Amino acid sequence: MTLLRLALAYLVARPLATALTLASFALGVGTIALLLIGADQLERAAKQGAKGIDLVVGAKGSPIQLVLSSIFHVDVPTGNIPLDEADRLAKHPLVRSAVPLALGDSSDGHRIVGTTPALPALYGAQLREGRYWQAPMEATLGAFVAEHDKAKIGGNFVGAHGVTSGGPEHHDHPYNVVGILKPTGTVIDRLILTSIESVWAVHEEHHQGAGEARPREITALLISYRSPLAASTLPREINGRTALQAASPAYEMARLFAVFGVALDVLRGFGAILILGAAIGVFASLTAALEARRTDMAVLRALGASRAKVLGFVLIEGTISALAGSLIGLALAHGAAEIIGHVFEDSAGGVLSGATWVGGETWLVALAVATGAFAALIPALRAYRTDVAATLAERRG
Amino acid sequence: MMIHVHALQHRFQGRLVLDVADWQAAPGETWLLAGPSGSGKTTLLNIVGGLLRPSEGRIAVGGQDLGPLSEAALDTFRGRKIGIVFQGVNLLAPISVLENILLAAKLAGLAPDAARAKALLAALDIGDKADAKPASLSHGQAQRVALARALMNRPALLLADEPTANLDDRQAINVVELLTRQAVEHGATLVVASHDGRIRERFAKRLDLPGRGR
Repeated sequence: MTLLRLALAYLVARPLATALTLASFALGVGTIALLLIGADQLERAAKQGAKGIDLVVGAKGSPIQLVLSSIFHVDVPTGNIPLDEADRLAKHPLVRSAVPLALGDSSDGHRIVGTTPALPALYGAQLREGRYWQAPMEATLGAFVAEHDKAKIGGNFVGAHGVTSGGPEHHDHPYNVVGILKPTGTVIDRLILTSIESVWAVHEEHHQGAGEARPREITALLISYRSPLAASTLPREINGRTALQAASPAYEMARLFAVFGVALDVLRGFGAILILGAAIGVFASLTAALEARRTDMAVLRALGASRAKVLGFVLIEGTISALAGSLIGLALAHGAAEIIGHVFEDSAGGVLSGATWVGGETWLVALAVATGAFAALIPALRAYRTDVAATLAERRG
Repeated sequence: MMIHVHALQHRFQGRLVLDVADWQAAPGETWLLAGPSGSGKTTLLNIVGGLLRPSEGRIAVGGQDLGPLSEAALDTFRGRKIGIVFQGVNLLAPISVLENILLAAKLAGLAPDAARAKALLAALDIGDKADAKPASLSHGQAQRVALARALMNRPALLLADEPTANLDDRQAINVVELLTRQAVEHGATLVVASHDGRIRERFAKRLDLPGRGR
């Protein structure tokens, strides 16, 4: 019979109060933990997605939209830019590499990206089978696309107009699957990669059919600087002297997270209020329980328990509630993250998963347990000060 | 265990509630602290048990002067050397009978000996109640469990406060016989505080405390 076992027995003896305390801690910790998990994974995905990309150049418009559509493929592009201007920029002395993107079509919700093999190389992608595209209308699929569509080498599919599903299909221009990539855990897993010529082939014939003849265009360029000095001059040069728009992924994502941050702070504050409420619950529950148990505390003292032991016993009781509630909260948060990740697998880009541990969670549990212990401190001190003889005399009536 | 009380006084809210000039109990003796309500029987029992410090005077138990002992040392001394049977029995409700008894050893910093606890229960004819919760016991059974708990650490001094309160004649005699027999079997000094006239003649020694009025 340890003090821990005794504390557990007392908690079990008042199931309703214990369940309410656990639920309060679980809700508070769970809410904050889910936010931590979500924010961490979103930030990591953002960093991973923009790794090696210093600048995105595209048509004028919203810089965040340009970054989201060109790197994360979650928004519509701002427009197209002339190929000759893009080529000129790619040869700029401050540019080490420039990966072209031609967007506009999708297949079964997966975006078709006209580019070069330099794009999968940016994400460290490797071929699982087959090869990269070479001739027009050849495609290499990201791992998720291949699995989702049960695609095989040699298979065919058609693209549909627009980067979201539902547009008119280009039945006269089927793609041929020539390769499938290994999973990378990045946005590349969800893309269909082909040559820029394929995108032109589909759209130029489409437009020529409508009697139009237009200069060749691409959607964006993903640029890596040759030198860090480029960061201070190149974006200004592009934005000021050309019809193009340059957006820094790092800056735009920081701006986006700053906007998200306010909402996240509000939700974190809500979670903190829940934890505070749980702590007040521990205080009220323990105070009421100890009032009813004053004689038990006196008996413990009479049996030889020191004041410190009685203090520790009550603190253990409060701490167990906080710890158990926090662990339940963490389990709920990870479970919820996993479920949300699965439910929104297509739209969320596989960003959210419960199988992860964020450093902040350790601090969160520590903080919640400390809060529970602190809430138990006042009742514990009352137990500490129990006047054994007087309490037992009261009991005698 | 030898008890030696000298010039002991205790005041509560300025009022003298206990005044014992001199009292000695030798090891193995069975004592009754007798007197009307308010005579200070329980106060003296609490002082002997180290639950209360006297306002004045000296109390030594087993040769150990309790006055200079720190509170922690007094707790340890009480846990290991003294067994107390409270009037209200006071078993801890959420844990089993066996766990209640083992708790006494645990709190005294001794190894919990389940075999000894079960043997004590068997000796007190409640061997089948080891796993029962206190709420399921009759008053008599609960009192036996409290006695087993008090005996668990092989105390040299056994104290009992009004153990026959609310009991009928037969039960009262049974409890006193049980206490005296267990004290003798365990070689412990027994001190019982009671104003119950029915058990007055059942003890070898008696200390009469005068009533103080209220």
